Amino acid sequence: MKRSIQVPAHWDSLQQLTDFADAVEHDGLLEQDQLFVLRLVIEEIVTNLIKYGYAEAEIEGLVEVDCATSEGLLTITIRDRGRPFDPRETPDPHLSDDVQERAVGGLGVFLVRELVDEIAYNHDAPSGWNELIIFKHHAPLTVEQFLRNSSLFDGFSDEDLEHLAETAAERVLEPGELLFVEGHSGDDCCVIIDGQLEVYKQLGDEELPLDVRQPGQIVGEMALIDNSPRSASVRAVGQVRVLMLTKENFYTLLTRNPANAIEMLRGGTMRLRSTSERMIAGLQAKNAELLRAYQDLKAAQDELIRLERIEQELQIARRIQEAFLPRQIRQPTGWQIAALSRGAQEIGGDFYDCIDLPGGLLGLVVADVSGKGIPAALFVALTRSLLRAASQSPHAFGMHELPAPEELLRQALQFTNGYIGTEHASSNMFVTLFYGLLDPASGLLQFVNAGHNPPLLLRAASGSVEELDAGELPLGILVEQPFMASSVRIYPGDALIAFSDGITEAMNTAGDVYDDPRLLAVLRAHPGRPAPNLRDAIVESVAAFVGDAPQADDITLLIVSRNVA
Amino acid sequence: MEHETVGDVLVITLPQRLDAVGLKDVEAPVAELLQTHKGKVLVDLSKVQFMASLALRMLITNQKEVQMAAGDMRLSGLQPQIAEIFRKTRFNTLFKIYGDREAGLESFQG
Repeated sequence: MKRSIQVPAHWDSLQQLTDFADAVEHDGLLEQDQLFVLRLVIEEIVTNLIKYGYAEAEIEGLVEVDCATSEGLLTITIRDRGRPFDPRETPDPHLSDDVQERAVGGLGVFLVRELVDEIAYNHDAPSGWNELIIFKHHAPLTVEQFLRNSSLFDGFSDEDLEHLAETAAERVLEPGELLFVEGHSGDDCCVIIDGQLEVYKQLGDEELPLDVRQPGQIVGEMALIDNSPRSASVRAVGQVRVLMLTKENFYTLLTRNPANAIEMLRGGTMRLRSTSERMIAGLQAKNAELLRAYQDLKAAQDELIRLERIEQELQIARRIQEAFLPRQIRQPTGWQIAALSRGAQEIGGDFYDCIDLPGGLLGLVVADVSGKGIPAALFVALTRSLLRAASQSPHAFGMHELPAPEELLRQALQFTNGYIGTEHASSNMFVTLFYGLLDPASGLLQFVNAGHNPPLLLRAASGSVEELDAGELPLGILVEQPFMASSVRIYPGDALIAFSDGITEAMNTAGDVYDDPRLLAVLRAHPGRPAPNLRDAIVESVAAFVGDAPQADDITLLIVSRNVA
Repeated sequence: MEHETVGDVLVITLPQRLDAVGLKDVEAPVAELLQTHKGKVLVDLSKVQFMASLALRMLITNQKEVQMAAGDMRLSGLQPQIAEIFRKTRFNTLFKIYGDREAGLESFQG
């Protein structure tokens, strides 16, 4: 950057020279201290030239001022042809401390000499040209300047300031560098010359920011006041220049300038207040978080307890349900009965029953309640109890004339179906059920199939299989259902196989179902075999088919075989 | 240039540029104010960015006159470069100087 101006060496040119300095300032390339020097040189040197070089010598002419800056160095060159004037040679003024005695002459040139780095002067006698060159580097604030300019050190004598400058060390912190660490002991504090320091406390893994301190402020004085470890950590925000003060420096600071003590007390109290407020707010937030976590934990624990209780209740329910199956099946003379019931879940919706009835009759029941789990289990209990009670009630109430078997079937089923259909209609549950009454003496089986998958009759003589499919609707659907019984005779060697769809719909890992043909094949391969053999053959066959696949549905199997005479 | 009276203190706030050009508008009015006020005076220099020997000369002249009239003139709010000028010329020993206007006004209370 270089700017030049040439003006008549006359008082009227001062405004132009001031405008020139403004233009240089506007360029923005000079630091404040250099701009100050430029204005000072115009004010003190150029005016001197005009006054002594031209006006008093009664000469007219021009003054040229060049202003150049390069790599932080300001060079001001002044050329004129007035009476020679070397500002290096004027005597220093008398700097008396007494106002009334104080002379004011000679201060201007003295100030220029004091504030610039170097002055060169040349007078070329043959041509009459004078050339004055002034150099000024930008000088960052020195510690001494800082001390003198900061209001912290008002009231310090020159001696105090010199002592402070000698004993206090300047330190430059890199961005993020730690100055003080919470909990460490400290016997010094600092004043920020340049930059910002952040003050924070460590709370577990988190940092609680407390304050950002600015140039001219003291940081770390609390440890010196109460002789305790640092109450917080202090870190440089960007690059920071600080002046480290010893304990002695610090006490001097307090005693020489009591305003500092009051200011520190006020600042300290305010920070203490704001810190405790922030800590309290932080603690409240943490507390709320803990409370929430506790409530979540409590809810999870309650849920766990609830699940455990349900699990316990389910086990009880399963034991009760197991008790619903006949503990022991009466084996009528010349007959064998085998059964199996295995729930897919802990409690299921299948059941079978063998009911002893007067006259040696045997009631055979296989049923499947829609759905699974607790609701199904409740319906199993309901249906089984109703059916048993209804079947046995004529006998239980001492009626001497028992109804005919087909009438007994019809009444028991109508009663059970009516009750479920009216009292439990809203549950939308239904039960598929096969109910047969066997007369072991004659081999006559009278039965109703209420929507259940048809039981199979394996004939020993032909090896053929018949389906007992006399379709009535399942229980719980139509209240006024008549339930007409059918009959079939079971001959020696024959077997009746009643089952739930858990057998024919058993699924393997490939997703294929066992299906009727496989069951029929097993039966046809075992004509004339007694019930336990048939049961084992079916179970084996299903197990071999399913393999490792989990049991999808409840399995119930009731087999009745008539011995060969 | 601005001035006001706070309690019994005349506060004079000097402008940004106290060079030869700027002083022309200030010198006479300040002298006039001091002639009529007589007593406590605070000269607030917080706005001043440039001053040199002419302004120093004005201030020392003012100070002499105030002291002759048994008044008390104090300064406040010197910016770093101005403070340096005061130190180099030892003018800081000729005036009572305070960090800012408030501190200057407070100093008159004690």
